[in-house]
Formats: sequence, structure tokens, C-alpha cells
Amino acid sequence: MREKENDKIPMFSSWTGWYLFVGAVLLLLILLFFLITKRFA
Amino acid sequence: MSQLDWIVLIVTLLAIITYGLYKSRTTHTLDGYFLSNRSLPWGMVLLSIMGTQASAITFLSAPGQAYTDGMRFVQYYFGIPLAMIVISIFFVPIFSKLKVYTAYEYLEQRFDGKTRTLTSLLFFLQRGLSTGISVFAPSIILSSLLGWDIIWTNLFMGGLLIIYTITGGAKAVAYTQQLQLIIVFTGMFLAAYMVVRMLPANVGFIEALEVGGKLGKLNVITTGITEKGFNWSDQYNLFSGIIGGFFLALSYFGTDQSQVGRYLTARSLTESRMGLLMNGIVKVPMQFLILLVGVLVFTFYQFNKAPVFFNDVQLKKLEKSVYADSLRQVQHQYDSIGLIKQQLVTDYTLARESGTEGDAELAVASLLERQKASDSLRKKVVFWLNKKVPGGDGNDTNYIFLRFVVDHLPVGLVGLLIAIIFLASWGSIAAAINSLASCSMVDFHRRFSKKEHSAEDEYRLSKWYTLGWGIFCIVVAMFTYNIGNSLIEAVNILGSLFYGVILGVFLVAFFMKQITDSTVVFWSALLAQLLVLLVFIFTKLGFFQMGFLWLNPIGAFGVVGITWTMNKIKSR
Repeated sequence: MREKENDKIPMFSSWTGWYLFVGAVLLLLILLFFLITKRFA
Repeated sequence: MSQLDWIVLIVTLLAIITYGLYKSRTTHTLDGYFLSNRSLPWGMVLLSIMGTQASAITFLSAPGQAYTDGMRFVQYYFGIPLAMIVISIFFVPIFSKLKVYTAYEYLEQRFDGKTRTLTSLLFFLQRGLSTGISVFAPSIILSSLLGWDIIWTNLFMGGLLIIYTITGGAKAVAYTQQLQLIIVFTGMFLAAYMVVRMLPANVGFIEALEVGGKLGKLNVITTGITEKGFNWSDQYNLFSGIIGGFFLALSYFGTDQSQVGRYLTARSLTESRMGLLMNGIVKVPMQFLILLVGVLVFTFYQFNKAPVFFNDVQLKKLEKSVYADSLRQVQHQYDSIGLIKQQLVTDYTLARESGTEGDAELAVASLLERQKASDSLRKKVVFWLNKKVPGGDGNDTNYIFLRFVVDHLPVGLVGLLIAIIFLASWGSIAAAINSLASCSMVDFHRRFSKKEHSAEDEYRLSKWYTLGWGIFCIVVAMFTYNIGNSLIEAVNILGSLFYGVILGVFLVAFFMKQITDSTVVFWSALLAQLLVLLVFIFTKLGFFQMGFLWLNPIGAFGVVGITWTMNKIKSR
């Protein structure tokens, strides 16, 4: 396993973008699940 | 099972073994055998990570869990995305830079040999035993439902995968996991589709969810906060999921070789990180969908006759006990209530359809009352099995989904879903055996053998270690009887007993650069392990109540805290 020089990070310009994206997806999922709980309870 | 089901089952399993053997060609070195020559793209790494985590127990237990306890189990996975971020930032670059075979190899470079040996041994203990349970769990369910002999089922469950795991190593494991997951998801999707199709004509997917929701099964988010404050014994809620689940996931993905070995197969640091981060994105929705199948099955049983208990073998034990007459009465009452519930749920859907909300609310109120009554009848059966019948097991969570499959799904699909149980098992067991063999070879044999070995010798020996661990897991499976709880929980509890401490050692290594005294770390790990075991024993003895997920932070912070304190005392 190596960090190639030409290894571009997909989609975002830095890994921080990816980390924020993963965190945001989790938050959105929790919000969606909360709404599902409210809607069907 | 019908002839067609047998054909589907055998053809699917043979196809996987053949595919695994076809992909077995690998270079005869440790790098090729244990790490696929570090050549895999992130998509393969992702599927391998998912295939390793998702065992048959995941697909059997989760729908059953949703049937009995609702969707809240999904919160257990909330810590995973956060753990993936932390592992991508701190763990992977170090493993990548040092070009290690196993996670524990790093600990020798950072501390000393005995710390590496201790963490490897904890890994052997935890992973060896839990892989044995992973062999046994689906076997006992299949043997109970289909009347198969448990010994032969164990041998097939744990034995066949050894063929391609020995010959192809990590590469065969990764390629077969890819195919296994595709078949597993196809089967689960078909099962969900069939459940909705088998509901009455006026009940679609949304209506099915509404029925499940009204009866408390769509409790996806729960806080665990009661009038008396936070309930520490509540296993699955938002906080235990995010905090406890985070530490469990950090330990599992960051320090368990069965997972570390998957992302070390990536061809670059970027591919490794992408595999992990994508797992953080897809894992929670995937688990949500699997649980949703359980809610759909629950709704199905509101319109159809449901068994009072889903494990027939246990029911037969009750029938032969002094509770036989009581059981007959309970079954009669349960069936009568079931008929009323069927009528009420039909009334509810018709009222919703015609827009008469008042009638719908009345039907739901009566339905909830009947639900409580049938739940209390089920509890009676569970109580008799747990407390009164020798060798009884009152937990039928793992049987619910497969009972539904066998009783209600069309011919052909039953064979496919049974095949899925095998494939999901093989995916995680093969990866576990491969990682156990890599630790045996790299963390022990290479270090302690006085004999010089050529690359070819090491490759050959690694195959023997793979076979040895395969046999060990089957032997554990043969002895795993009467665990007495949901099997997915048994595996997670076993993990939580050791993961926290292993993680704690890694946290000290990564974040406490001032700690250089390896003896302090070693003894702190031992003391923290003792602390975790004591806490677990005290909860079992009833001194206090606490969900098992909290054992992970206790172990991790235990090591960090004791190391910090001992280091302070020593440096004075």
C-alpha cells in the first residue's frame, strides 16, 4: 500500500472534505430516522 | 426443502467455491497470501470490509430484532461513520507508512515485543471464539428449522470455505466476498418484495410501515432518557449507539486484524481511506434496510397467523414438559387474539383508505391492547423456556426471519435464502480465519521460530495455519451450545470484553507520545482488562445495570487512565 504522487482524492480537494461529508451524511440519516420515527409512531 | 430449493442451494454454493478457487492464483509470498500484494481498488476493499462485518447472524438476527424490539437496533451502528473518519486520519497512514502485515506489529515498533504479544493473544482469544460462534450460529438455526444434523451443518458451514481460503488467501476471500454480497443483497431485496406482495391488496409498502409504526416497531431513534434520568442498562439508544458504538467500531475496524487485514490489501493509502469512508456512508442505511425487512415481516404476521414462538425445537421441549397443558392453552388464546388482530388491522387499513381517521384511531387503540395481550402470552412461553425447562432457550430472535422464509416464501427463493446464510457466513469466517493465520505467522511464528524460512516455506506454513484455525473454529462451534441470548449479541459482548483494552493500547501509542515506558503500557493493559471483566461480572451478578457497549469506552479509557497515572507515579 503506498501513497502515490498522482493519487488524486476523488470528488473533494482534500480529505477534510470527505470527513465532513461522511459526518454530514450521518447527521442527515439521524434526522431522517427521527422524522420516520415521528411520522410512523 | 423442495428439489428446486436444493438445486438452487447447491449450485450457488458450488459457484462460489469454484469462483474462489479460480481467483486463488496468487504469488507464493506472505504479501500475496495475506495482503493480495496490496493491489486492490477501493470498491473491492469496501465490499471486503462489509462482507467481513456482515455475517449470517447479521442477516438472521437483525430482522428478528426488528420484529421483537423494533428498529432502534440501527442506532448501534451510528458510531461507525465517526470511527471510519478517525481511523482514516490516524490509523491507516501509520499502518501504511510502516508497511505492516498486522496491526499489532506496529506496537512492537512503538513499545516492545510483549505488548505486541499481549494484544495479539487478546485478538486470538476474542476472534477465535467469536468466529466459532459465527460458524455455530447459522448452523444451529438451519439444523433446527430444516432438521439437518448439527455436526454435518457445522462441518459444511465452517469446512467448505476452508478450501478456497487455504488456496487463495486474502485475494480469494476478497473476490468471493464481492460475489457473496451481491447474492445476499439480491436475496434480501427479493424477500422484502415478496413480503409486501403477500400482504392484502389494499396494503402497500407505506401502509405496511404504518401498521408496524402504530404497533411500536418504527422506533428508529430513541434517547434512553426516562423520568428517572438516563437509563444505562438500555442497550440501544442514540447515545449508547454514538458513544459506545464509536468505541466498539474504532476497536473493531482500527485494531481487529480481520478488518485491518482487509484495508491493508488496498493498492494505496487513498484506496484504503476511500474503502473505509464509503463503509461509513453505506453501513447505516444498509442495516436500516435489513431491519426494515423485519418490520415488514412483523406486519405480515398481523394479517396472517403467527407462531407464538418461532423455534419449533424449543416448543417441542415445552410440549414434553409439565407445561404441555399450559402451552396448549396459551397457544389457543394466542391464536384467538391473532384472529381479532387480523380483523382490527384490516379495519384500520380500510378506515385509513376511506379517510375516517376516528375509526382508524379506534382500531389502533384496540390493536395495541391486543398486541399487549399477545406479547404477554409470548412472554409466558419465553419464561417457561428460560427458567423452567432444562436446556430451554427462550430467545427466538434468530429464528423469526428464517421461519417466515421456510413457511411462506415460494419454492426456489427458499433455497436462495438458505444459500445466503451460508454465503454471508463464509464471507466473515473466511476473513477471520485469514487474519488469525496472518497473526499466527507474522506475530508469532516469524518472531519465535529459530529456523530460517524461505518465502516459499512461509507461504506453505501460512496455509497450514489457515487450516489449523479453520479446524479450531469448527471445534468451538461444536461446543457452543446454550449461549442463551441472541447470538449477534453474544458475539458483540465477547468483542466488547476485549476490544476496549486493545483500542486503549493503540490510543496510548498514537496520542500519548510522552509515554515511552513499555512496561507501564503492558501492565496498564492487563489491569484495564481485569477492570472490564470485573465490571462485566458485576453487571451479570446484578450489582448494577449497564449495557455491554459501555465496556468498550471503559476498557479504552481504562488503559489510557492507568497508563497516565502509572507514568506520573514512576516519573516522580
